[in-house]
Amino acid sequence: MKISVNLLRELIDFEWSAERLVENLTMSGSEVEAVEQKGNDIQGILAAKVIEVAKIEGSDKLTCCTVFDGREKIDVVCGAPNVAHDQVVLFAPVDSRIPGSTLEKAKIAGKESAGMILSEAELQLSENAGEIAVLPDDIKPGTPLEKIVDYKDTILQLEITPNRPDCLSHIGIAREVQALGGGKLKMPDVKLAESDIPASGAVKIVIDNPRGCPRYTGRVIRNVKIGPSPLWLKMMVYYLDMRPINNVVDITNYVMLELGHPLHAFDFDLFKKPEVVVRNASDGEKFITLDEVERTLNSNHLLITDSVSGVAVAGIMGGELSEVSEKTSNILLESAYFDPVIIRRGSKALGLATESSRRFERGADPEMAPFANNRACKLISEIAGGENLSGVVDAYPAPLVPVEIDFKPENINSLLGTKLSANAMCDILKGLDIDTRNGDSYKAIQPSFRPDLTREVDLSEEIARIHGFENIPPVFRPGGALGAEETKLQRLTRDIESYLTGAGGTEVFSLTLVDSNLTRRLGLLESSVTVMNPLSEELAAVRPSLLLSMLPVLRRNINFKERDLFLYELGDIYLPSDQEELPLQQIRLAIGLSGYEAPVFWGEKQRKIDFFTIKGLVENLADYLKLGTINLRPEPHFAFDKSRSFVVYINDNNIGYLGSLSEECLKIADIKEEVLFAEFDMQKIESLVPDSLAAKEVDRFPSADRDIAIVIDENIGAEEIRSEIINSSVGFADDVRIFDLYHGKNIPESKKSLAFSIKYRLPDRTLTDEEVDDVHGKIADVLKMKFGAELRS
Amino acid sequence: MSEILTFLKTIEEEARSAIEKADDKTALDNVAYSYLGRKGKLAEVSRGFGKLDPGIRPRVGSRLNELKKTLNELITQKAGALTSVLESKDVFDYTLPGKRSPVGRRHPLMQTADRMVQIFRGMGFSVATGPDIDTEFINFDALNTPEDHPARDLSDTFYIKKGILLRPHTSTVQVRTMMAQKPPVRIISPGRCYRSDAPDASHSPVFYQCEGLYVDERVTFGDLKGAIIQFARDMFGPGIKVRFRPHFFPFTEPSAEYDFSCMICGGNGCRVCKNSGWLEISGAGMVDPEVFRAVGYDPGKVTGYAFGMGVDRITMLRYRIGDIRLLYENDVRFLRQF
Repeated sequence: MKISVNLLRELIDFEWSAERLVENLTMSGSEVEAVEQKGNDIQGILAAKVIEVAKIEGSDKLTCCTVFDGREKIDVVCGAPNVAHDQVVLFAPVDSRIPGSTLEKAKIAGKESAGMILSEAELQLSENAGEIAVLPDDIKPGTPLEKIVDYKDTILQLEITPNRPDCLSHIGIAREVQALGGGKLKMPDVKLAESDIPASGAVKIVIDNPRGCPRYTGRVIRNVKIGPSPLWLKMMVYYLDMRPINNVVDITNYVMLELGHPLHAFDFDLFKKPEVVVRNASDGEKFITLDEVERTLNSNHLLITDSVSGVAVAGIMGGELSEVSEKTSNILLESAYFDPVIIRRGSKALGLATESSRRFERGADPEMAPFANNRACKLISEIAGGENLSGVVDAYPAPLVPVEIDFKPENINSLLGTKLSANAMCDILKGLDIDTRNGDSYKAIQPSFRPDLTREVDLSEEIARIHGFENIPPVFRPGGALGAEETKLQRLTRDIESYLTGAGGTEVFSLTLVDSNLTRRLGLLESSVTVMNPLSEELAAVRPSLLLSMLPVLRRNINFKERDLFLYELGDIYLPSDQEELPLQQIRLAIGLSGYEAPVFWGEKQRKIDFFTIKGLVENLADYLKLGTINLRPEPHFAFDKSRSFVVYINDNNIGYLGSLSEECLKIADIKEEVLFAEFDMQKIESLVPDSLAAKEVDRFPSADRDIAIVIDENIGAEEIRSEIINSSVGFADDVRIFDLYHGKNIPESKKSLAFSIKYRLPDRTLTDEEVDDVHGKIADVLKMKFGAELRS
Repeated sequence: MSEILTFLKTIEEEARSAIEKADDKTALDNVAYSYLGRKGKLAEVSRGFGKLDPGIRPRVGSRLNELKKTLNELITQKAGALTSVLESKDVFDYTLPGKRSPVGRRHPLMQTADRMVQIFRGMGFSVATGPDIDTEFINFDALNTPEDHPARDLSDTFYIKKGILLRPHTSTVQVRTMMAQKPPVRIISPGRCYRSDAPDASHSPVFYQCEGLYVDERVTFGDLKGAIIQFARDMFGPGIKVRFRPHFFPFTEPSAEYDFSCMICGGNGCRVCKNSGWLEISGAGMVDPEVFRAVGYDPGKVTGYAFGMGVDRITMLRYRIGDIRLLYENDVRFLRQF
């Protein structure tokens, strides 16, 4: 909503500077988003009379005009088609300023030109650029522009919240200024000259749907002369972002901006009968609106008719066939009150929002209808001439009854944390033109222009904002637990994040909406939750796995030549559910690796990431979280290479999967690097994390360390051998590690060489060499017997 | 003297001079290899050993061993000299980079969310979570949102199907918590939210919010102010100022928008705060009695405040990030900064 400070000052005489006004409005809820100064770059413009107009040879458009500026005659070249002898025009002499330039002497088409005859657009007073501005004859040449029109203005762009339709007007903002102590609101003058003929004889108003149209007022004006508006009116309408059309339409718009009440002027001669019937449209009824579009209405639309055919879609837009034009002489002026819901639905169904519908759907003021009608008719008869038939024809079958709001000042104080007296509260409400009564209890009477006020809590907001939010003292409460402890999952999440970050992982936080194409090509779309109204295909599926959001992140980084990646994400995934109303939501952990393990340094070799990198990472994580030992079981997975696809178990609990992305998957995701990926179910991990830990003492006796190297069939898993070593060590082996794996020279084909380093140790005493040799020998025997192992020296 | 012994003498001289000349480790390794290696000159002589006159063999043999030993010693000596030069003060290049193990980073949004949680936990808030996909009742009806409110439109909100949608705010968690638990309630609810906004510098269709709620007997607007001011000071420093402006939300009354003084220019006015000195943060207010009724609380007995807060917004202000999309692209070059 745009507010002209000049127009505002006509409604309330306040002494604040523009800055103070901006601050006060913003801090009381009408946020000023922008301030625009009008007319600052205009200087030295005055009225002048055109004395002579002469054609310039060789030009069809240009004329050489002699103007009289009150002191002297000046020759100027003019290009406007409407310039004519005897006109009073706006003239910019040499050295005067108009927006964007300072006037200088010029030579145009060979003629000296010492100034310029101006259009309204050149002064940014209106938008009519093709023609020069022609002033009334009674303006004396030499009159400065500021005496003709008050063009210097400050325009405020306000953000008005949807609960405050009253503030979509200058009167509403003036009332805010009044409440904030700026002065006393003055309602505009509506005393108008009327003829003896009663309007009630000229038009009959029937409301078929009084719920949709509780009030309809009409006035009739005869013999108006339609023409352009005077400069001040055009300028005000233009400053406030509307297009000047003609005097009558501009007046209806002006009054709407002033009072907030939408009006509509009909060419009454185009009515088939001198009647107004407000009825619901029928389904499929066609109607051509002012913008020359044929609209199809339905039975929820409210239609204004002349009892034969439609003349306006109520509260939204008038009809083309009854539009005011240059030929119009008799006018019916509508000022009605329509139900917000019917207008909102109608406007939405038509896809048509207008200044009028915007106000009605938020809630106009039913009591303002006749006042606004009088105000507009007064201006019409003053500006466009014509004769007002006497009286407002007012159909108001069931006057709306104002709500009485009971309130207790102590309730308001205890909600706000204030100590305001009841009187102070009543004074604030009075400033807002809300009457209060104090009998057994306090009552506030809802004003007709405040549909948002129905409850005590609504009054508390009024009191708080006028008192000033800044005047409510902040309270710093002591914390104190209200169940503020962390859950196990929250703690676990922190542990995992700190482990993975410490291990070199970069945390990813990606969108949960993923590409439906990618999801489909990976075969997951059928089992995914999808968005009914997505912005695009790229954001049409809700991820069923963190893989779906990790793949584009990997691709992006690899494409930017960041190939050495260790990424992780902790986040939710969603799966459709047959039983539940809502989809299933699970927290998961994903890890994605590609490229080399660590940055390369001088004198070192870089290690490429492989399957054992991710396995080691997961083993370490399990160790760090005290989950127990990880077991991998080969199992196919849609995204993984067949030979590198595993489900991860802790004992018999499946906690997730890990593997190497298949070529197929990489191709679908357009990734040109090998990628290792793992995904885990956080709830399962959570269930396996022990709630407490009992520390063990450290061993006090030295260990005896021995190595053993064997050659065995390459199909035998290393872990199998390792477990066997532990099992056959009669409890002596404290730690068994594989330190070498070898294929190739000196080793027969289909065999491998494995070397283990074994730490023998007992918690309660030192082992003797003989004992160790004995066990070590026995282990070698077992390996020979069980696996056909051959000892290497 | 036999020819072979003379030859060995020449080899020795050559080798001594080569060792002398070797001025780095590699050169020395090469010398060692060409004389003492498997295919080196001494090995070559050894291979021809069998063809020698048996009488001369012992002398050649002992001479060979002697020479191997001498050369080995010389090379070891020289290697020692080379190393000590390398490690002497003048040549030790301490400007070579340190051998660093890779260090990961937490996502800036998560760092900020953690900090926020930490601050609010200190004020006695606990962290509550709820589903991203929720019912229209929880999202709108329970929050006193009119039936034809634009937030419910398909153009504003992502729907999964009729009545089920991707939450546009985490107020759903507040509703769910209040429905499940009697007052007092003091929670924050960080989580993803969804709105049908085409991505640009300040919009993301998926974003991250952290809303707060405190319901108890006698919770006042002053308490709301205190909580937000305390948060602002803790997050951005004690000099930060907070202002509350009246606003409108269907689920709070009175409603406010709150601003922080611009931490970039110190409130003097700059490009980021559009010369106003203030940065709009989010909305807040006293919980509307209708919301209490919808969750089964008695609005005559309890009052409460609620506030919104964009984790993205706070993160962007904290790290002077000008484009929200940077937060969701997960470019490691960007993430490595935090």
